[in-house]
Amino acid sequence: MGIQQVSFIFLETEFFSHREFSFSLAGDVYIRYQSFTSNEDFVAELKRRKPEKIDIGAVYNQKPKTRDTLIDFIPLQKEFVLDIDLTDYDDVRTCCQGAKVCEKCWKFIAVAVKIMDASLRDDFGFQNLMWVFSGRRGVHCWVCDKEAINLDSHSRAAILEYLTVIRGGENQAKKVKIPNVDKLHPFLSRSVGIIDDVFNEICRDDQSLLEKGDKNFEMLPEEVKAAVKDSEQRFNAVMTYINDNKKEKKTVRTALYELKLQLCFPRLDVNVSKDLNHLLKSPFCVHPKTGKVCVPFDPKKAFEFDTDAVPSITQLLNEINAFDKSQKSEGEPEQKETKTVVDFKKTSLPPYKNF
Amino acid sequence: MEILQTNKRVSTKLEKGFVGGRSRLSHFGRSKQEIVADAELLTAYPTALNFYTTPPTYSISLMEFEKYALERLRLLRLIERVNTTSAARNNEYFYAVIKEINKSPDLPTYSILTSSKPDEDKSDDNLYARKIDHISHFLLRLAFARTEEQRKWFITLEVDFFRLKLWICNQIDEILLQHNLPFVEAKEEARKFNKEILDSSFMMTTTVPGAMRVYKVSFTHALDLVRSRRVFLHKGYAYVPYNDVASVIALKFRSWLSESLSLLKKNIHLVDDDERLQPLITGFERRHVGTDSTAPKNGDAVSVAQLSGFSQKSFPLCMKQLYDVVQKEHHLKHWGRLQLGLFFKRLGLPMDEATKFWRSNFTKRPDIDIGRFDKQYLYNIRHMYGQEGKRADYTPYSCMKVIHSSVGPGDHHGCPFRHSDATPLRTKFVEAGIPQEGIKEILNLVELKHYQIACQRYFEWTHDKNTIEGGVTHPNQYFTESRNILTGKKTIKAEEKIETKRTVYYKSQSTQNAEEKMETTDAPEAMDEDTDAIFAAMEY
Repeated sequence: MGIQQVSFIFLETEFFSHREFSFSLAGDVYIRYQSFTSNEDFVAELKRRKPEKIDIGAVYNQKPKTRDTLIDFIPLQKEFVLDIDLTDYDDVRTCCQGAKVCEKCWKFIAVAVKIMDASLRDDFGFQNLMWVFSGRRGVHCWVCDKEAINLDSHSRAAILEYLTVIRGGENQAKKVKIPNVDKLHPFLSRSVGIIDDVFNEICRDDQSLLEKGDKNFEMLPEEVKAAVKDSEQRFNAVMTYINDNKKEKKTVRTALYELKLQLCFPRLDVNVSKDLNHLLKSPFCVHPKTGKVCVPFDPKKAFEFDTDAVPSITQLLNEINAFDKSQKSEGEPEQKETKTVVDFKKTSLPPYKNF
Repeated sequence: MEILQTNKRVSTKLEKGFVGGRSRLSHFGRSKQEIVADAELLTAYPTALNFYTTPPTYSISLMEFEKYALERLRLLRLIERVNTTSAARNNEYFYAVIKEINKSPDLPTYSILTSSKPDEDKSDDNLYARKIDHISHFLLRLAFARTEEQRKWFITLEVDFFRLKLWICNQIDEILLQHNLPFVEAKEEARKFNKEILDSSFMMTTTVPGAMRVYKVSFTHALDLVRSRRVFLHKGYAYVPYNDVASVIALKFRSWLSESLSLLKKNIHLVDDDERLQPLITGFERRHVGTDSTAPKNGDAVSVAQLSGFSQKSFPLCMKQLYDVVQKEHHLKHWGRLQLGLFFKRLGLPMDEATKFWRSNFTKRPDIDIGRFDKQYLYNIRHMYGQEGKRADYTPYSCMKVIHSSVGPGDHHGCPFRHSDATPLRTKFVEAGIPQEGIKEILNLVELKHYQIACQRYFEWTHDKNTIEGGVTHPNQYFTESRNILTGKKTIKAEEKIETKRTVYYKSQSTQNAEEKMETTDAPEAMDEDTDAIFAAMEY
């Protein structure tokens, strides 16, 4: 159940038979390089193996299942994908850490979705984007335009570089460097515009960033730090100082933009996007840990998306059982019709299908 | 295919040259009857800028083969060195490369080719340099076509050299025309997006609307500019100012080169059949030092217990830092595990010891028990040792790779000299017992982006002023050199130039006692002996 739905997007490509699928089976068994010749074949295998998770890989020059590793076995096509995960935000979220997620830290994801969606459409001209909730603490974006599917890994890496702003590890306090704030690339000015709408809400109200003990404070220029170091409410003090001085001082203007970007700009897991042969969890899978379904969502409504409202496997089973029960209770004559209703339609999933 | 056939031809002619005796060395040595007339050369090479679309068809001797290939290899190594100090391909970068080339006494061909206005110079010397440039490029293709890693290395540096010549020759318009590149001048958009285009490009200074020449091209043709966010993108098109078109042409060259090398790779076995060429080519490929370091000697297995001591004295800072994080936080993110794990592997830490190291440290965290460790990390470790997946023998990261790692929040990997602020660096130097003057010197080098030299100074200050001559190129090399000094073995007289790298390797072995040398029986080294004998024979 639910299984039929996995295929509806990906079966459409004529290269289905050369597409890699990977299954995670019960007991931590992971099998790569599965491929199928038809929809029926695929469904039959799913029913036989009952994978806990399905990953989707690239389309290869040979059928992955019967690949001959001695001869060239190379990935040819794959959707361009983005993977954004809240674990990469641990240095800017104080509400949760690690695998946890709440409505406060979800806002980081929502900002990321808005910024990436705008750039992929307006800058790169892609149109067929599918945003999917990963089932726990992140989102995936599948770019399915023909141009995107055919990008080589060199091009994918270049796009990723374009989309990456935060660079620097644990030994670098300042992770965003703007060479000339008065000549800001349109991608950056648009992104900062999106961040502006929620900057105070997220960084001050939700996460209490820049306050005492927050490492992010270190990224500010010495003069700002010196001016506000004794303030009770450091976030407000920093913003006041910046606003008072940004007109005259370029360093302060630069600091403002760098601060906004470092705290709120999307953090992408680049490796998933760069390599064609990298795998990514299939939409409509059930997340093995949370039981939640990886549902698509509307990027325009990213802020309203509620992870708690996403149906889980248990909920779906209950819905189907309840539906069947209600049909049965209405008497024998209608039983025949019940059979024609696909399980999917008996649940709360259909609204998620239409993006 | 064409390349292959021609390569074949080159090789058969080479063979003839060889059989015909070593006196016929002077094809390029100006002996009157042998040389191609200058007029012909000028027709063959009207400009110093070569796209290398057609392979050369001359006969050359094996000695010339080696000479030209080595000179080009030195050139590429030089560019690689300059690249570590600069990520941008701007005027400063090009001046720096030219300066380095002119400083090197052993790059005569390239000194000529990078002189100012090489196209106006129609002297014999210049025309011959163009020819050698052409031949040597194709010779190195043979040596670097085999593996993905070799091709990548070669392509990157060849493209940089191409860019340099493009910059010197400055003939963008002719090239666009000649190569039929998909550029459309976008007058209307140049006006409409005037501000965006100006904000996107570093070079533009003019602000008069409509005064700038802008070309519209699919963003996939302008990836270099996209990558560094130096171009305005709108709906899939890049709007490239005239000044930036060079970068787009370089990219075109890159994809041509990449395609030809993939083709060549499929047929490279034909070259292997040639007894004379094969050892030469294998030799060149090995001399591409920097991505590999001396393998651990047999019987030199390292245990977990030794690591702590080694980390204090002999780990380069990049590895010490990772090691310390594992000890302190009992965790490392993926790329950190890979950087440190592969370093350990080359150190001679066997897989079971490596597993012990990671498992004992990671399970100190309350949220990781042995079950979770085995499930989440074990595969990864086995993979590093070629026991899972495609079972590849992954090579440890060179300095170049470490320096160019992409490092993000939560990461500790990369090169500390590049990926750290001055403050934490200073702390580490103080911990290492480096005096103030040393700290100042190293931080200065970091400021100038001389990361490898900074690392070398760090080595010197922590090793009683003993040095690694020829510089630090690989974390494992750093380690080996450090052990040699600390255990009192003779210091390796390191290489000054590439050709001597091989000698160094052998000298380093010759310092060991005879029994040890006898024990060395594994295949790659035996092969080395063979090629070395051939090299020795060919010197005269």
